[in-house]
Amino acid sequence: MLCENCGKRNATTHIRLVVNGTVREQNLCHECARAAGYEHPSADPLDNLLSSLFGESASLSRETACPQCNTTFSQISATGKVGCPECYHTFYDRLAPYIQRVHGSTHHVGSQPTKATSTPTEKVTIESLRHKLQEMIAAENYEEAARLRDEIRAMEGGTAQ
Amino acid sequence: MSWYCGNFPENDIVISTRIRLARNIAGLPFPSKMNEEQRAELCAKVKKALAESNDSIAQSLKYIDMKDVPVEERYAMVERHIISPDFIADTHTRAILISPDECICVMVGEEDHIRIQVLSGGLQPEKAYETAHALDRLLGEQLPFAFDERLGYLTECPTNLGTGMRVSVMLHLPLTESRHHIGALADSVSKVGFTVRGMYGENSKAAASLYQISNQITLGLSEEKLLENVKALAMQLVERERNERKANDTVALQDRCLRAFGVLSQARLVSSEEMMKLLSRIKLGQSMGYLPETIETVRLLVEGQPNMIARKCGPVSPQERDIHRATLLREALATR
Ligand SMILES: [Zn+2]
Ligand SMILES: [Zn+2]
Repeated sequence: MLCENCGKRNATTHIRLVVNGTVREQNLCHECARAAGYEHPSADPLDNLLSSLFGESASLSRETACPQCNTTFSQISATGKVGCPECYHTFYDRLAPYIQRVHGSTHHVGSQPTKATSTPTEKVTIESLRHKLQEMIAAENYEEAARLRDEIRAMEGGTAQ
Repeated sequence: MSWYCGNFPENDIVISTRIRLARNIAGLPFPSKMNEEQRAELCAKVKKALAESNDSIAQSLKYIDMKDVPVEERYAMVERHIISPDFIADTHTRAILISPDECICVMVGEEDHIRIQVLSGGLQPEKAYETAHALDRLLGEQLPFAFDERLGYLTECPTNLGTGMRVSVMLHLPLTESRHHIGALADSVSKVGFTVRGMYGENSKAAASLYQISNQITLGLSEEKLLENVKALAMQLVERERNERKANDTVALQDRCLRAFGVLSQARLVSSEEMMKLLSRIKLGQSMGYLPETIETVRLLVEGQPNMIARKCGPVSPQERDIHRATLLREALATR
């Protein structure tokens, strides 16, 4: 079953809401459920074990930092400021519930920039793979074409919003 | 023409409309994580992007490095609503690009890399947006903006994600205020995703019955829809204030407005608080038909601010400032 919100990913979370006596049911994918605030950022069991052994410091030292600017999620939540555009990708799952609360949405509607921006790498790669796929089909190299097709599918599945 | 001189739509109640677009350049950290070198590079990039464009608006913008601006002038710029108080709060490398009439200002290195700001008199959200959008396109052609399909334009503070667009409308609401409707107003405004705050005053108390409404939500709502919402909400507040004015056309109100005119046409010492209180009454008196429309109350309100006086008269004592302010007001009212 596909997610009822984005219609793109498989629904993994079943939500049952009782509003004024009426039952509303929804099937959402992991990301949409999280964006809607139904799931807490998953607690890593190893984190819990370590922090119970060593106190707070253990989990802090293991905290992921943004590969671009080195900002950690605790720094963001302490200042309310994000370090760099890449932080939004690094911490998307943890920022989404907050963004949802502020704006009531996590999906942009409106104008788009004219120039390619922060996510060009993924797009360029898929584009170039498609190009290569056409070449392979033209060259009747069906084995390679099938491999490329699978690779494109996997990428689209992983990068689609 | 400056936003505070002239006649504009719904000017009896709406003072000004401001559009602000927050933009950041991909691959660079946000301003609070930038070092001085990166900041200087950012300023140079934006300057170059606008200088190389053939657009006449872009060509008219003047580049000003904030470190070349004297402190009093920086505060006077805040009083003219050109830059934000935050922008001058610290001394990092920052710059602005400003139009001759000061209605367009691109701030570089504030909370976001770029903030395009367009001011206009009265209620003109579409017109202000048109200009801001043109500059956004122009800059976007030269600079790769940080953008995400899901979250829209990426900003340092998640509260500005999406369109990165903040629309603010400043309204003069003396009767709504005196009828104790401001609390109710704040409630109804927040229900549709807006905030209201008093202008020129401390906390929520408005010094001249001036209130500013701004949208809180920037993600999940298109620019067009936001402009529509802002206009509808502002018009609702305008109608309410107009109805209060109609229902309160009394000798007592006339007396209060004309007394304000009397004091400011004769006083020799006027503090900025007194000026704001009395100009607010004069402005109300104009819309009630008690006083001539030709008095430029909004211009006087801006030009009578402390740093605007200091800018004109140099560093003077607070009392001398009150003398200068009284003269400015007397001269403006005398010819009426
Ligand atoms: Zn989904
Ligand atoms: Zn980062």
